[in-house]
Amino acid sequence: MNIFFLPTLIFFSSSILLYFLYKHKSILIKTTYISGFIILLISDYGSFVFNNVSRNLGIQLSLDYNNKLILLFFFILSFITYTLFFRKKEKYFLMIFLILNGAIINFFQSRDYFNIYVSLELISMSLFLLVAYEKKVKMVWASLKYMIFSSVALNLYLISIAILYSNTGTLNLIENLAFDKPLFFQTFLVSSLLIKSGVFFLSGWVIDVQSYSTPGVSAILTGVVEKMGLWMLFLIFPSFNKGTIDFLLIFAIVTLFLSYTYLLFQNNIKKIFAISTMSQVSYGLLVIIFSREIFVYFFIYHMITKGFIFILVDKFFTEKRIITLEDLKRKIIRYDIYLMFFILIFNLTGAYPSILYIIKKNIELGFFLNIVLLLVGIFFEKIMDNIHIEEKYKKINHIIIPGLFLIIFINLYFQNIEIREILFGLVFLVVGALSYKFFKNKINLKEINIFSFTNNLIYILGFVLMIMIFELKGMI
Amino acid sequence: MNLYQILSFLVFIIGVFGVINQKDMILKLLNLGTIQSGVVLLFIAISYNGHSPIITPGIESYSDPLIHSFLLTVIVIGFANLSLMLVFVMILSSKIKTYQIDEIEKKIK
Repeated sequence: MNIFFLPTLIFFSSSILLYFLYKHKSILIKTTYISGFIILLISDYGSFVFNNVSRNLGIQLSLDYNNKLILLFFFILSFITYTLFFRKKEKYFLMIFLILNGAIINFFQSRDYFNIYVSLELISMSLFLLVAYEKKVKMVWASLKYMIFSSVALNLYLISIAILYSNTGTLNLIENLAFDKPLFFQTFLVSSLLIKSGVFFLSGWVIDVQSYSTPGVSAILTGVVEKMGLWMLFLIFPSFNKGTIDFLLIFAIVTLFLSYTYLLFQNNIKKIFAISTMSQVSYGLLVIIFSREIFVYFFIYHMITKGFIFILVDKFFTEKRIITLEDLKRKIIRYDIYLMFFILIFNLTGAYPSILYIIKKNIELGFFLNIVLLLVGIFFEKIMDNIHIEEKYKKINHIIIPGLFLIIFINLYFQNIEIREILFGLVFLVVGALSYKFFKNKINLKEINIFSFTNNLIYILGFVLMIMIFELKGMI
Repeated sequence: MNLYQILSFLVFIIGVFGVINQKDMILKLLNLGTIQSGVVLLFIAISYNGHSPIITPGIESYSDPLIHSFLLTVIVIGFANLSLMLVFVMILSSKIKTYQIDEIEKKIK
């Protein structure tokens, strides 16, 4: 029998053991991570159903290349987060954190709609508690907002699986791919998953939760939890018809463009990165639509890049009370941190040679994505322009950064690959960056907020009604 | 779609409009409970065929028990969620001294 389901049980058991063995928490948690990682690493691909019943009736768990890779990287991110932020936390915080890890592993292995629902609820509830653990007003408010929107999303999810079960008689995800989708199933499922995904318009909670959560939690949130909806869409994508795919494509394009535009009106560092996560979710949707087989690499790329950005922000900014760009401007940052920021944020841009560029090549919207690079350039410069380093390192910086780009161009020249397209993208990025530098003192963009609580609910209701109408008219 | 299913959708929609319209946080949460009730009713309407969902020896007609076991889970999770939300509203109101959402948003800004 395959043992890939054991890491979930190990994390849940460790959580309970921690209550009694808190004095030995370090050994217990490290053993949990190491044993979970090794078991997952040596597990063979396969699937099984509890109690050996047919998969129509039982809960199916599965391990394949995609979820194994994601989970192995998740272990690394989670362990780093624990080591940097949570080592000295209280008993109950660590217990909840271990439960969160176990639930995340279960979510990725599960192939049953209801089991996925339970995992999602467990993950959400653990996060509600972790986000607001310090009980500061902003944290509690962010967590409450997250709870309410999560509750709405998961109720929509429940309606969709109720509709599905009444038509097909099974909640197995793989079995259901073959059936014709009943009316409104896609409406409710897609809406709920997009709300949980942290996509622009529907997920205003992302901005508050990432901005005000307990340091360290936002790395897990942005790295894994916000892309869980996308993972579900990735799993059920083969059952979507052309109308649904076209709808998702248009939605992804619109939200990608608008999220980068909205980002220009923000001054809070964590809010800027939260909105950039929203735009990356739109990229994720485009990757699923155009090149589903590379989605797992997008997931890992984004998990690591964004996870580490939030780790850096929490470690070096939030803990030192650097909240806004104005605060950032007044502080001197260590040069190694500056370089790490430069590389990680450049990796998010999608310009050559970032990892997103390689992923983006598979999306057939080259020209549009290059135009988006103009906005990305502004985002890039908005952060980097406000990070100041010590004078003695400025000279080194003036050699290292141009040197890096020189190496890239030499590499490009010898490889002789799509130079025109690459330069085209880089020009848009540089124009965006320069336009920020030129206009930053001339145009004062005031911070705006379109995601008040009520507004966000209205967007969700509007979105659900819109897809319902499309589905009724047979357009999706 | 039968009458009960339509009615459960109606309960759901009432809950959604309540969550949007109400300014008081407690009332918003109560309406979230209404949304959940709509969902639970929908599940029951789907599975109920005039018989009990308990499998008993000698009785061949029963409603789908699987759905009812799901419902127990949904109700328990919903209860836990709602309790947690109420606790958070309590913490907020003790610090901000209001339950009105507009005022909370204004003060937190």
